[in-house]
Amino acid sequence: MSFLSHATNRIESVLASIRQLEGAEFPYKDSQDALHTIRELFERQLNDLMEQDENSSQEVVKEKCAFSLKNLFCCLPLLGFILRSTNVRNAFEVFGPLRDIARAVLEPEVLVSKRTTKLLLSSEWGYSPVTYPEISDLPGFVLIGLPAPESSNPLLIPLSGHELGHSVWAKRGLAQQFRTDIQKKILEYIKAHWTDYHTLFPNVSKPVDLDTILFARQTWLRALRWALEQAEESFCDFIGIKLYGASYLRAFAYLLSPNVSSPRSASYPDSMARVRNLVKAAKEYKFDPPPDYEDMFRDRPAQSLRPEDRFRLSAADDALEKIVDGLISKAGELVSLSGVSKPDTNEIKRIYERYRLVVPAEKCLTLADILSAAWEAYEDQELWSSVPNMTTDKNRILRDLVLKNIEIFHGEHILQNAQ
Amino acid sequence: MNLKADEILLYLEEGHKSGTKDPLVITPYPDLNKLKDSGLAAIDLRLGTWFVTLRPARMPYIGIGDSGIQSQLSKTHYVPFGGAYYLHPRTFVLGITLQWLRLPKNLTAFVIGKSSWGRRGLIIATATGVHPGFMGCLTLELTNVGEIPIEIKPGMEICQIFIQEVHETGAACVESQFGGARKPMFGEVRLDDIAKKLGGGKLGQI
Repeated sequence: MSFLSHATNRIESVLASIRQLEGAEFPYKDSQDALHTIRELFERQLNDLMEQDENSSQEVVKEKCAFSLKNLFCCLPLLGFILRSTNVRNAFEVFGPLRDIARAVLEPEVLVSKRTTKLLLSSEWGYSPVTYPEISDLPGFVLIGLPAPESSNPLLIPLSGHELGHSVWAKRGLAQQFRTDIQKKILEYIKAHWTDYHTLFPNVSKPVDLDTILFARQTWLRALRWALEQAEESFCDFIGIKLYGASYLRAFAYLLSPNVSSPRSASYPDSMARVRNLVKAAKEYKFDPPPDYEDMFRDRPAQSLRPEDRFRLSAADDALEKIVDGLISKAGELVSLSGVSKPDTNEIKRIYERYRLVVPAEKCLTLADILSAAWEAYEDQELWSSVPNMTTDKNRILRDLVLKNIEIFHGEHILQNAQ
Repeated sequence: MNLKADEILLYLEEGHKSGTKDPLVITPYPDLNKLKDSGLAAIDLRLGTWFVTLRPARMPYIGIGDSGIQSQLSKTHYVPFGGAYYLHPRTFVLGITLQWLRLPKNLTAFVIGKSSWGRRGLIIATATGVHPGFMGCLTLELTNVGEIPIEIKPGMEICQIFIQEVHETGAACVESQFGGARKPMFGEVRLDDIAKKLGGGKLGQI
């Protein structure tokens, strides 16, 4: 039974690695808890495998070994993510305020003191914020990772709203909620472009078969999947905008403008469509988008797709365009329900005035106000020009100033709750 | 002359008025009521959340002009509110004030430890001067010269700052290599022109 011994050895190795990781300096208990949960998962699997013997069914043992291997594939990147959550390049100051927001958005119906959502705030060696939204082995955890070189840049924190959006999407079962509508729009698109469709899929003879015959359904299921993925990504953008206002748009542009030169992914809206939707949502939520925002972007090169997939992608893009208003209002509704206040223009101005003096502001009301003021300061070319010796290292000082401000904001929040 | 608490208070209140161009700021704001009635001539500062320790095994010695000291010779630690750092006997760590300071052109300051800590063996600060125009958190040099490990916690009162008025000439403020930072910094030790001319620091070179 060499495959069984291979499987047990593999798990023992990962458990040894976990024990080593447990010796890391964890700034917050949430990361330790995540590691502990994963360790227990592998310990259970190891025990299960150890109980197999020569009398066990070979097929059952193989299945158990295969399952444990699948878990290794799933959990190993997660262990790296947890380890990186201890790295001091991260802006640990934002942990508390971000977890408060995550708890409010994911558990609005629960008393503040009873909320339990945990946060893994980490960094990724990939140039895009990352989340692992549906980790069944880590229930109740939100995972947010910013690109490692930018993980201490508070200007990019608004993008965490997008990653939080994935958790909201999963927790609220929004894929199910939007699926019917999206499917309807895709079928409408096909019917409206029947000649093109029929040329590509001649075996489907009439529109009425689209939703009734299995092989006909299979012709558009991929379009449905792409449209659902695009809907989720768009919804996540809208959560970010509703939480952080125009600073989300600015952070998005910092990270992704003018575009990534590789071909677009079908899981995301086309670059320019996405940007137009960002602007639309911002206006819907009564935020002013940055001036000439759309001009900062351009489309990504088209994917090299077979004609059938090109048609499916067009159907998915069209379906997204038709349901985008519903996504904007759903994201707005869920953030409003959470009680997280939207950024306030007067507060942003007040904080920005403090930044002009190179000091943090006290008694801030929201993280979004602080980050919006930070963007105002970052984009102010004249900032600190009258302060001796401060312009040469402006970006580094601004980062530290804003993170100190966030720490003060969090400390004030702790003191308020302690009263 | 040292400012007394009520004078510091006036400066701080003035600094919070909008339109003030060159204010004294200490934030998070100290307890003004405590300050007002204290009769003290100093403000207590609190310990921040970042620490930097040396990793002696990484380099043979600290040389003059070693610009890589912060990344190669040191390790950064973060201790959140509620956490603790244990300073063992004869160990040295850089800490940072929780407060962010801003001194106007006409004020200077010096930082010293608190006697209650000193009597337990904790020496807080050795480079105590804070020049006019400084902005940022203050790096603290913490050493336990006692025999017993000491627990320190972010948020606790760790040192005190005395503030003095200086005659304001309108000259530019000194550029501090430690300014505008939220984490402890080593800074650089460099030879100035005179030291270079005297032999570049090489013993016996004529």
